[in-house]
Amino acid sequence: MAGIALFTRLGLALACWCLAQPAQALLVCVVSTDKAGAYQEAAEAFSRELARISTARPELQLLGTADYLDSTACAQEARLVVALGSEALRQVSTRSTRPAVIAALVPRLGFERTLQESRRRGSAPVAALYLDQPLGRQVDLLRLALPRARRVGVLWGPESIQQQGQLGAALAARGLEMSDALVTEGQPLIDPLRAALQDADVLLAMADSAVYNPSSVSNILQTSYRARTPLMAFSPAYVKAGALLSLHSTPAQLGLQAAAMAHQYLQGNGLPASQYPQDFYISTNAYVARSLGLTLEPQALYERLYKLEKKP
Amino acid sequence: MMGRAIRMRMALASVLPVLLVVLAIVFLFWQDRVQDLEASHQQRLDLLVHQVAVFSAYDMFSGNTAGLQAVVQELQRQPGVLAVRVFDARGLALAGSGAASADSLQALAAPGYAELQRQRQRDVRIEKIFPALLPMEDLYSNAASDQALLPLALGSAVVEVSRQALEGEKRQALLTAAWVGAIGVLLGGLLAFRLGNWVVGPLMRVSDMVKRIGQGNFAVGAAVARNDPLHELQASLDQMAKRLAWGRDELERQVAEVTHALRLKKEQAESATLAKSRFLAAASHDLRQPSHALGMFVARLGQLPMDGQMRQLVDNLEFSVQAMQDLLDGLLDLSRLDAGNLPLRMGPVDVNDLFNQVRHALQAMAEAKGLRLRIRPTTLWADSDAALLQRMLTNLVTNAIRYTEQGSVLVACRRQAQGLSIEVWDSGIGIPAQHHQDIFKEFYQLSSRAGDRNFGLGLGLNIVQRSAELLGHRISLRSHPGCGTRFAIGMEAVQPALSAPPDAAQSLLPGDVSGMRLLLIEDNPQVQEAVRGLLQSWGCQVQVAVDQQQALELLHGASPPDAILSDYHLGGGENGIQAIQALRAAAGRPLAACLMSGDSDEAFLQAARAADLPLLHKPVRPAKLRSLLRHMKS
Repeated sequence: MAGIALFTRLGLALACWCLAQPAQALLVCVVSTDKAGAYQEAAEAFSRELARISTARPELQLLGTADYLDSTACAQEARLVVALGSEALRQVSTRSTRPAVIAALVPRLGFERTLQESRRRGSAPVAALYLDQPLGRQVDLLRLALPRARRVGVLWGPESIQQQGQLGAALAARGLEMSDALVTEGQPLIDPLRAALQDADVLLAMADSAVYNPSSVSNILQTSYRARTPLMAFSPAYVKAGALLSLHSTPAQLGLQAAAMAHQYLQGNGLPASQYPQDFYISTNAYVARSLGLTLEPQALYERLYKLEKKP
Repeated sequence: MMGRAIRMRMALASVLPVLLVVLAIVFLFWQDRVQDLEASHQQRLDLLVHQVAVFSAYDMFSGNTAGLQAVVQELQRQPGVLAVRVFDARGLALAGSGAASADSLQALAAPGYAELQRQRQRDVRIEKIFPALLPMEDLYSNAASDQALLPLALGSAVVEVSRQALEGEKRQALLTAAWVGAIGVLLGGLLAFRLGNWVVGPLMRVSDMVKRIGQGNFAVGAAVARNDPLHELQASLDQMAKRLAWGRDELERQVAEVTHALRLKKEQAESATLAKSRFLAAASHDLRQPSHALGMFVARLGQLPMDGQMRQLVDNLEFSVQAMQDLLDGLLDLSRLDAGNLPLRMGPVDVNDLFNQVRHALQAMAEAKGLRLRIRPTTLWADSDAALLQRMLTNLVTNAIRYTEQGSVLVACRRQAQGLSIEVWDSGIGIPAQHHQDIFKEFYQLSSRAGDRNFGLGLGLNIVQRSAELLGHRISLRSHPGCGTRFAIGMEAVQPALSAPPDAAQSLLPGDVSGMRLLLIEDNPQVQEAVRGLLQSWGCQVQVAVDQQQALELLHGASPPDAILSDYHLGGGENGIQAIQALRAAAGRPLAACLMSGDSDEAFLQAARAADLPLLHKPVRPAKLRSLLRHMKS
């Protein structure tokens, strides 16, 4: 034990020495897609949390994607690179020699695609903190928010169609049916949309830029509204645009979780596995709810969902 | 008139800038208004087509043609909208209303089509229909992928709008601008006119003052106004007018004085001239009777037998009488010319005849001086008075003979462009140039010859010049001292007359008068005696009477005479014409008769002509009397 204790002390002393040496410091590069807005918020939360929980006092370097490509320090000396956003991940992946990467604020499908592309160039450990919510949580919220809903309409795009099976299983597990349709490129959106809305009680939006994009959102929301079918979205922007509610995680929540992951790695416990956000946020559109004759309390929904998840 | 011209200029000077400014403002206003109208029209068109595009976007997305038709028809209700069309992305018409200018999107979107329709008062506007863009700022959005997903046009919206309302508004704007301009010009013009009057008024007052001064009214002081802007000018004008008035009065006074003095001088000169004329007339008349008698006596004396010394004495006496009678003739002519009662008898005059008479009269005189009188025959006829022309020529030739000591005197006639010229050349002493004008004056003689009795009184040339003036003939003179002299009389030429009028006194044939029975009526005893003696010396039987009564008695007492010679003035208010007429009446036939008189009165001359009686002017030359008697006898 004493030997182990001594080893541990020696290790700590080594660690301290390492920390004392600037070149050997625990350099963490935070590469942000954008130096403003949500990414900035996430970066700040990450920095604060890492500084709070880490005893090793790692040195943080906040960079934009362009700065990262110019920085040799991040490539050669950094212990960890935290990529915030899909664009940051893509830029980080272009470097063949790199330290371990934690990618946060990236949709799962986008992350997997980027990972497949970068594996061809070389390998470094990469862990993701997904932007999207786990499908089970989404279906749970559906049931909590719209208890009378039985059929769930889903519009699949070329990318999101991969989740069809998982979602179908999740729905079936909770006694719900799926009314889905595939949007193919070059075809009018209206036909699959009508098909998905046929007999659906709620439209569950699954992120796919081929389906949900700035030019289609308005039409989808109008059509669903005319069909008096509420839309549950994956982003608060959709709630502002007319969706009934959305389930998402805030940048601060994600930043905190990413800091925890980084701390775990820096502690020498290895890179954690890719994971969904633990904490989440529910936002609702009171106007839409009122016009549909619904009453939604986001806080109450959150608590019920939280409790539901914490049940063993 | 001047005021109006100045007002016009003032008005023009003020109105023109106003007009230009107003026109510029109105033009800019109108231009601005038209641009505004056009811009708002285009903006409305943009809004209309955008409205269609926006309202159609969802119906296009959802394929709701009924909805599209509703949108289109809603828009068609907007004023001025002619047609609305909605086409899908492939150009297929989905909805439409109104009469579009073309049915296919391809035609409507063709380049230049909008411009063509614009000329046809129709605006065509096309807008592509895009789905409504809703920017999603969330963590899922990806700038690169979003750009790749730029929305495709769903179709096109077409709106056609009439430009007629716009054109109407433009016309209205033009009308308004014109009205505003007209009112601006009117007001500006009115203002300019008032201002013009304000400026021109003082000028006109000064102008009035000047006009009044120009009309001779110098009392303009009352028009000077103290508050007038041109007060100083007015005051100066008033001062000037006063000075002018003073100057005028002074001038008038001086003129009156000078005129008075001149009138006095003129009256003196006139009275002097009158006195001279009276003297001349009186002298010539009063000298006539004795000189007439003297001539008769001397003629009679010359017929008496006498020795050589006596004969020479009588010849000298005869010459002296002749000279004296010539002088009297000259004075008589001058008095007649002065009196202006010389009647003209213009007619064709045979110049050659005239020359012959002059030769006849003056040949002896020239020969007596040892001169040669050359007269060149001619066939020309002149338009003149024969008697006056003869007197003129005689005077000129006499003058030439007088002033020529040796050589010759030439008389000739030559044709000229304006007629003919009768010229008298001499080889005499000549006349210096400075005397060329003076020699035609009365009683003027060249100083070197003044007082020479042979050279007359200096009336000859004066008579020539005055006669020429009366006849309208031109007198010219060319002479140099020592080179002779040439006088010329220019006159009109005429065609020769068939027969020359007979001159009673000159055209007589020579013949004897002895044995003629004559009745002489003469109240002057000397003259009576002289004439009777002369007639008797010629062998005539002479009865003498002093008046008409005595003559009638003599006629009753004896057989009628061959001829009657009667003085004109017979005393007792009788005259020779009446006596002759009485005698002719008593005799019962037209007895030959002749009047003798020293009178130059025109009334008398006319009476003699009216009675058709030959007239011998006293002093009668014995030769003339004898010639007349011969004529009467024949």
